[in-house]
Amino acid sequence: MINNKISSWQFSFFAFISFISPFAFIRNDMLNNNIADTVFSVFAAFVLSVLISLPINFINESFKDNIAVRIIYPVYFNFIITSDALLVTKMLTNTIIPEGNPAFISVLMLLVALYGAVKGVECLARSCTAISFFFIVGILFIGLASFQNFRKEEYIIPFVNGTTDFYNNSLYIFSLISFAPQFIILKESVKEKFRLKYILLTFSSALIASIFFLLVQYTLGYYALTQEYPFYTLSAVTNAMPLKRLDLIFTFIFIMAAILRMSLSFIASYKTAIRSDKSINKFLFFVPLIISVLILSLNENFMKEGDMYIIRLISLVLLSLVIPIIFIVYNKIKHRRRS
Amino acid sequence: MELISVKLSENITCLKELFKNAMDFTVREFKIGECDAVLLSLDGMINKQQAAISILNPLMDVNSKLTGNTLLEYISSNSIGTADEQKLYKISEITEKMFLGFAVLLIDGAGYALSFGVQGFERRSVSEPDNEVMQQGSKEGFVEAFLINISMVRRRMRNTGLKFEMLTVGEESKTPVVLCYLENKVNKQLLENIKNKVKGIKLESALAAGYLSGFLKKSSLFGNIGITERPDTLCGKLAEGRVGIIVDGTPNVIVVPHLFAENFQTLDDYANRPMYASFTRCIRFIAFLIAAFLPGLYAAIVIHRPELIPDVLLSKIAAEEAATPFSIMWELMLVNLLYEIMREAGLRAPKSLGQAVSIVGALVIGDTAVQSGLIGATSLMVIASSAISGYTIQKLYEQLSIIRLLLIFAGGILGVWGIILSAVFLIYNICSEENFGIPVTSPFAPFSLKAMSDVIIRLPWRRLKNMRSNISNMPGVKDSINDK
Repeated sequence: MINNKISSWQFSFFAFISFISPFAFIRNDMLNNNIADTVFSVFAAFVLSVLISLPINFINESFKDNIAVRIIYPVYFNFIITSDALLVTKMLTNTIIPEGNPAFISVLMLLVALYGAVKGVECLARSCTAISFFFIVGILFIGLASFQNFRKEEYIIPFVNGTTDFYNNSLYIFSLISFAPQFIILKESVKEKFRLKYILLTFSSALIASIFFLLVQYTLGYYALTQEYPFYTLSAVTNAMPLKRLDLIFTFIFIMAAILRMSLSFIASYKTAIRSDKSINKFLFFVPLIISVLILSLNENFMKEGDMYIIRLISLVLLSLVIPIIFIVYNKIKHRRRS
Repeated sequence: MELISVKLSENITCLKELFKNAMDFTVREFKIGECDAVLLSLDGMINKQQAAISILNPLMDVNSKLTGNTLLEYISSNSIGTADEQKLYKISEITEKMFLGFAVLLIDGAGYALSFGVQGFERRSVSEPDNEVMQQGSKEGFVEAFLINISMVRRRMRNTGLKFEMLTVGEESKTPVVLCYLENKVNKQLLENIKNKVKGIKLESALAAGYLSGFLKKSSLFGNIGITERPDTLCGKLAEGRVGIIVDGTPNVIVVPHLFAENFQTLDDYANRPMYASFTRCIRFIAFLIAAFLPGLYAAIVIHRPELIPDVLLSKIAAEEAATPFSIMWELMLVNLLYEIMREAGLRAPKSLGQAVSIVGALVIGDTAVQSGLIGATSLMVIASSAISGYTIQKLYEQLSIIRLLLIFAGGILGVWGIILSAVFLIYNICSEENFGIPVTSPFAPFSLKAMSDVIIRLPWRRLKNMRSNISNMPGVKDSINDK
């Protein structure tokens, strides 16, 4: 993988695409009923995602060469790639390719993502510009077209059932969209200061996602609650002549974004892995990962059940809270002993 | 024997040995005063009349008692007045000059020779290139003789900064290859890299620009170099800091570095109104997407997602499908294959057969195949639209042929999912390409608003002249290139 530098805009567009792509795979049965609450949950999840980057950044800066960090990070990234691949596969087999073989779909997708990762972070940055262009055009088109079905009477008062739904939804969305650990690794490739642009584009993705949740509420109403993938359903019921439905465009832009997100995780994983051993072969390194995705996707029960939501959440908490605390305590004890 | 001997007989023996069995090698022996002399040339490479009038006649009129080097000095200063006269000290220099159409004078007792430019080989006259037709602008195109090509560029760029550096490629053919660039525009490091690449080309013979192109680009789908047959196009590129590579014996001049966006530009864009030029550019971009994606997307939707097609159209396609023996995917493959065969036949067949090929193509593919129920009219129309769209961006024809086939296959087997995967793969592929340290996708990705003033839209000249970017200032250019 080529290690060249990318611009702050390119890095910020990574953030835009990585944060927004998982929204296509959010399942209604994992969310709690009031969609109006979810709009606030989106922003809460984004704030959480930005906040956890602080302790992760601290760990990465201070304990970069620690053996535990070198092992934990690639394991976490590979887990996220597996989870993302299965999420996408599940969505595809539930919507546009019900007859498709999940193992075949997930492995093929991972191979394309790996191809991009092998081409390097610069290639991904350029690809991200193209994908972002198609994404913005596509999402604008779907958004504007779906306005024709807008019904004011579908309005629901937020927090009507209390704040429990809000908390649960925030944690669920946070577990899906969070990409902070990957960004902490990828930011080494950025040649300029990026904080403002990064926040601007992250906020834009939150804004787009929340607008889409509002559109789902106002156009689908209670029908949305009966659908597994609300964003997908929104595009499937929207027509813009001569197209009878827009789910094709929706799938196109979100799958492209999801593959890019996986490619970024591949790069992050490989970058941390070579800290321990520079001679690691980039293809062989990912063979166990592809085999594990293959095995998991062949398991029908597994594909029916989980989003790995709880595991994703626990691993994030471990990475952003527990491990930093352990390291800080360990470091203090070490200093005291020395002094 | 490396250096020219003072003994004329030794030089003649050596050269006769080198040109043994070469019937075009001509040795004209004569005397200048008391001194023995020979005029060497290659038959067919020189203008005999000019050689007789401007070299032989004046030399035979010389009535001097001088010999050796002093005689040559006298001849050079007082007798012969050709513009491109040169002193040669090595046997290899003599042969090189003769291959370029020079006549070489050797006299007894002199340690060097004189060469005179009296080129007179047969060549094609300057005409408008068939592959790059412009509505407005010059009707001149490059020809096979590189010196004429150089003169065509020089006439358009009256600038002392315009440089032509000659290199030789081909161990057997020793083909002259000329690098041309504008000294004040070109990036020095970029020029050095190109020069090293050309010098490093190991070929037995370089008979066309295409022979060199493989060494100047990566062998990938979108790895590309620019080729032009027009001197005005080349001058435009040189003004942007690019380097032209003129290869003797071919009217195609290589232009490097070459960006993906350049495939959508023509010289007419700069002559037309900005609004119309921008419109035609947009048309070309849309045509590219149609040429690449339409057949694959059609196969994917009809086979896997027919519910996306409006009912009226769907019923027509279904009726056609019921009447034809192949599935949509194989039908598209078949029509595409037939089209490619027809195109190849049209290109390779003698001109006298061209009309017959067109008639057979139109009748067989266009009419009979549909009427006989072998293929559906919609499939035919899809491939025809895709092919015609491809003609608008002729420079990408090779890539489009491959992509079209790949996407029909992916769409037919995997459906829309296959098209999405292929699209991501293609985006990754093209975005990973670099040409001499410059991303080929620049200025789309990395994006530059300033450089976009002449990509999808073309701004008016008044604004464009301040915004046009030098190639080495494109976004994403490697630091190793930008060390001016």
